[in-house]
Amino acid sequence: MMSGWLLVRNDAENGRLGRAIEEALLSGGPDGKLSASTGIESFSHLDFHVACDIGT
Amino acid sequence: MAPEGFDIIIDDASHIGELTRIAFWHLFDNHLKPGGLYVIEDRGTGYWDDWPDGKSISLSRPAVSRLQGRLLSWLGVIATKRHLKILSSLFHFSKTPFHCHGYGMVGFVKELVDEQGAADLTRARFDETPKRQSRFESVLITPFIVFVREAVT
Repeated sequence: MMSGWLLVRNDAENGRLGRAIEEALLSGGPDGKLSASTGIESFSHLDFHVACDIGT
Repeated sequence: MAPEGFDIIIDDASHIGELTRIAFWHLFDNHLKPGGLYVIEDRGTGYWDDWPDGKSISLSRPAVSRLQGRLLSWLGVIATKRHLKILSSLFHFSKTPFHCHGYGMVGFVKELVDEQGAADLTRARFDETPKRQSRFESVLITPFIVFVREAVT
């Protein structure tokens, strides 16, 4: 079990990386073991951000 | 949120050197855990003329004579610190800066290289004690991405 906090700064209009990470977290990742235990928070007024506590 | 700081911060935002720099130092100093990893995407935008703060430049070396070039190539292989005085008097290169790109993201990444060298940057001579060590444990520069590991003090 590993866990840690992740912050992604990403462009609001073209935030592919942030969205890809968010989708991976919501789907559990390739092996289904990925999770965001605290939920994902976005701050669209500061560009698209992802901040979450990830666990595997 | 992240009460002890973030383990990983990824910046894939503006790719504008000055904006990335401001975000980096704020987040690095205040929100990255000791030993945490800061990732900067797309450092190469600084090389592009069509990027707001980028610029293409030629990095061709200053002209040297054919003979000087051959001599330098040979000396570059065999020379050690013991030969510094002789080499300096022959070529006057000891205080000559390299022709170096410093625009946009590329310039910012080179600032990170300076910070990695803080121990030497903060002393003027070899026998002086550094005023401080680098805040980085390591900087890894790949073709597109830079990884900065925060030092654990």
